[in-house]
Amino acid sequence: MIALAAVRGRAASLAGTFAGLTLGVALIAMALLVHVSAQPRTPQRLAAAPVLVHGPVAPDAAGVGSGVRPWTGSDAAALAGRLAGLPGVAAAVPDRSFYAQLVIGGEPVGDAEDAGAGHGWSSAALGAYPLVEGVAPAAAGQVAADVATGLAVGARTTLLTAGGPAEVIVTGLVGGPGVYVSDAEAARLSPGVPVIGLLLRDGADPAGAAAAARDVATGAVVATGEQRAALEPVQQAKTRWLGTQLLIAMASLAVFVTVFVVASTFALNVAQRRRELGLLRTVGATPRQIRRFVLGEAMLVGAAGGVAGALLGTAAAGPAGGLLVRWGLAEPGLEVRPQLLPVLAAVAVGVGVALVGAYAAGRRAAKVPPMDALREASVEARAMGPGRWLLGGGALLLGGFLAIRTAAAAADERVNSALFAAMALTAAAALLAPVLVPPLVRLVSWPLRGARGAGPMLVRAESLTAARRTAATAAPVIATVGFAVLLSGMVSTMREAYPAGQAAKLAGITVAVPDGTPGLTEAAAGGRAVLPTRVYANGLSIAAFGTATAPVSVAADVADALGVRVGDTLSVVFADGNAERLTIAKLTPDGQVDDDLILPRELVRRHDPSALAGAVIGVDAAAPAGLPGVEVLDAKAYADRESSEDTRLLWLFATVLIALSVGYTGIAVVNTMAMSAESRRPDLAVLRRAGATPRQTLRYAAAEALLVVALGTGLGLAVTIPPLLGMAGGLAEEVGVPVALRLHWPVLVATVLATAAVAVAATLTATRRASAHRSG
Amino acid sequence: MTITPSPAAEAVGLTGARKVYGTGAQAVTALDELTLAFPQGTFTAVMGPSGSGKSTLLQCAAGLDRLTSGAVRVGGVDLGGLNEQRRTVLRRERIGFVFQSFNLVASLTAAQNVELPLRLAGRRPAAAAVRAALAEVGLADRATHRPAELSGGQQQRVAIARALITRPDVVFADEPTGALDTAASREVLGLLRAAVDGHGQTVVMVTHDPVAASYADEVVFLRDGRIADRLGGAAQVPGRAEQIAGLMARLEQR
Ligand SMILES: Nc1ncnc2c1ncn2[C@@H]1O[C@H](COP(=O)(O)OP(=O)(O)OP(=O)(O)O)[C@@H](O)[C@H]1O
Ligand SMILES: [Mg+2]
Repeated sequence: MIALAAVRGRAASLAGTFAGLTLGVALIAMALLVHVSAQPRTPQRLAAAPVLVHGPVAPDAAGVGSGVRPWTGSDAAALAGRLAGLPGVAAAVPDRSFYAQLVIGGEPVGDAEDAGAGHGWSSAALGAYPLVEGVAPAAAGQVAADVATGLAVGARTTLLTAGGPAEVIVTGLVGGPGVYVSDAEAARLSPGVPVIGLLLRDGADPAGAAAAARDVATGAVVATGEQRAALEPVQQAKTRWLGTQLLIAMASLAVFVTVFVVASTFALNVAQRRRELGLLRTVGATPRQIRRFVLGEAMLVGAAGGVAGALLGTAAAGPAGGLLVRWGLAEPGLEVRPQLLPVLAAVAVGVGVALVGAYAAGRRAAKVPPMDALREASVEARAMGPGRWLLGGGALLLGGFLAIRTAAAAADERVNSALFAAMALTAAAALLAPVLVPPLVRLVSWPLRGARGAGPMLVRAESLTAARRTAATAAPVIATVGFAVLLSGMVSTMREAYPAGQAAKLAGITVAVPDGTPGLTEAAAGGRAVLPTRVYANGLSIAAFGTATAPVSVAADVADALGVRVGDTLSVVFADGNAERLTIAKLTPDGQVDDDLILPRELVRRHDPSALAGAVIGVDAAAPAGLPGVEVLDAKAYADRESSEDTRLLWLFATVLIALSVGYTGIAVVNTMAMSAESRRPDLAVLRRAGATPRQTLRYAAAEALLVVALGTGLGLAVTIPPLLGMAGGLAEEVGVPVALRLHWPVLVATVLATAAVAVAATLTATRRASAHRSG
Repeated sequence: MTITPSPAAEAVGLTGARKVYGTGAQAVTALDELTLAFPQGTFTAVMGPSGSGKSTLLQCAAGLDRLTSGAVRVGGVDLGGLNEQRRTVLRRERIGFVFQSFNLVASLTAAQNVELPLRLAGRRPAAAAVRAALAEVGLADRATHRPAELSGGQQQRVAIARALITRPDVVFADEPTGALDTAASREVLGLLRAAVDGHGQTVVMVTHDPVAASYADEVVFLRDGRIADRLGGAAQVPGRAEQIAGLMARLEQR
């Protein structure tokens, strides 16, 4: 009854908590819904084969994606022969994918990221892609092209494969994406076979065929229905991984900010209700009962906010999925469907978060002595309890540790590490604010010390005596400014660092890069470029790189994952399905990306005829002239090109997260400012009776709000500097040039001004409303 | 309660009670080695100059605050040996408290405020009992009003109804008539007197008003945290208020 009555009686002051929780739950629900909807799907081009038989799926060492271990061509042919003889099976088609891209009018066409658009002709049947016109390619130099290319049957054009450009003739047009060559040609370009598709006779049962296939294909995976999604292209897994990173960042930020908002509002709440709580204690409420009232209140608000958030999140999930697709963080065709489980999970998180946020406030409320009901003036006793010191100190240590770790973190973990460091430091600042506030107030208001008016005296005195309330009011400002400055500063710093580092490394050197293609052909790259490929060893899928000179060397963390040391022999399966025994000659230290396994170049080329080089550094500018799909850049242009996609993604992440956290903490700022102004009502009445004009009281209130914003801004900046320094240090190490910490001033200034405006507006509105009431 | 109410039995007792607020140079001794007992079924008024320790005495005797040294017994139980939880439960069962102001929870109605102690004790309040308690203080028609909609005297009476509804052994009242006019004061004092005479409860009341004090069986005068004087005799006899006023005046002169 009491919790309920309390909620009813103070609906206005709980509105902020409710809004914060609603948003938090909505965000989590949305992120979860999008995430579960963006699960792997069976590639369209294999969808017409009800049963797919493939090699074991191996995860990669980093856990981002996975790869399928291929068979050799002859093993695959033998297996396909056996599978084709099973009852109900009409055909067993070995499916190959390799790099093949048509050049029309001198320009490579099609998806510039797709290194697997080429297939043997028989694969077209697996997607039920019809031959629209002409005949199937039957010999080298013949292709079937997608009708969408606009090519005509009989047209002569250029086909890019890993070897280089070749003249081909279009013999047929296919009603689906991809470039199709004869099966013999496909076997030459991609000797290995990762998957065999089974086409069934009319009326045959896929489950029965799959069961039969399992007996025949020992050691292979037989997939039907949804299971076939394991064969999604690596590129799609990568896209989803990126999208998931954003969703995770969003959801964790939502959880953090919600706890933060709820905790600071409830703390303020309890601070303001000391007298009421003391009264309850005098009439016989035990400390435990008081704690339960506060938690009960949190529970009620949490449940209400949870339900509202669930609805909002479900409604927002569809558009959010659409945005992810547009930003290139989800595959086109993503359909977000409302589902119960993720939404329920979000609501549970919301209620849990409300309880966690209110827990400390509840403990503090339980400690309010009954005597507080009897005191006329409610001046807080002790600013900091031992628990708060402990938590604040702990958060500070954790934040410092994370900031230092940011400097040592791998490139792809650096952003999240800095974000977590900033979260911990923000929490520390908020927790320790009651001790930081008095000296800071003295500092900020120092110039006004000798002022004549009553205003400075009042504002100073109020912020100083109610350090805890001032701290609670400043907390959301700390978070707002902190996150905006951190995220924007992160992008600014990285945007400077990467091109600078690259340009410094490559000064005066020209670089050949792919132009509209996923990589460089042998013809364009010459025999020197690094050849990336994928190999399989000890149950892992590993990114390997063929270089001209280096001995076989493994990155230290990958060596750990493989369980090998220098001098060990490792059996490695290549893209063509053949295994080689390699002796590890060297371990490379962690921290550098993309060099999991280094192999001799000619070994890679021998086993992966379709491997494409990434870029060739130090080419003769004239060498690849006239070849399609290659461009020669100077060091600066190359560095900018390299970082532009990363920068785009970073800005995207930063913008989304800034908008989220600032919009969110903005609500908390409004809320705490309004609550704080509301609680000043008796003081205002006294002031008015003592002769302050309404305008004067408003001015004092506004000045107080501005002081709080100034405090929060100072602390917000203070919490962002260590993670940013850590990040700059890490970047400097990685790119090898000094990296200065960069703040994004426009974002910083805009955030501070907006926060100040919002704070003053909220304070003035609440103050005006408070003085319109009967005072007392 | 199995203790038979006999005038001799003590409802609340303090022995060597000392209460010091603050430390060092700022230390204030509010109660100074005070020993005092409130017998069961009696009405005691506590008087004394401002700052003499009256409120402190009440709060410590009611277990709302802890003594610096010395002992408090409520119904024979030493409060010093109890933790906060047990102390609260004991207070809930045996003690009612009325303050001078800020008595009511603003978000609850008058009736809800009255039934609060019962609910806190985990009992379901009978609607009739709550109505009767409010009727007794003359507020039957104000049950659904919130404190903001009641006058100061009405709020005070709601607080008394709340203090009495659990029929506690002891009711402490700190200047319950401070904000009331003569008629309302008389009503409130009558209610407290009735609790003593009708139900055998014990009432301890702080007041500055000799007329209010004249409702009590005994008046205790405090000064600087010590007992300066005591006045026994019959309550509400003619001329008693004047007698008390005289004692007060003498106390303040010294
Ligand atoms: N919380 C406190 N902290 C410090 N000193 C206190 C506190 N409460 C009371 N005092 C001091 O203790 C002394 C006794 O206070 P108390 O409130 O008991 O006086 P009182 O007799 O009730 O006075 P009044 O008639 O004005 O209500 C006073 O000197 C007062 O200043
Ligand atoms: Mg007093």
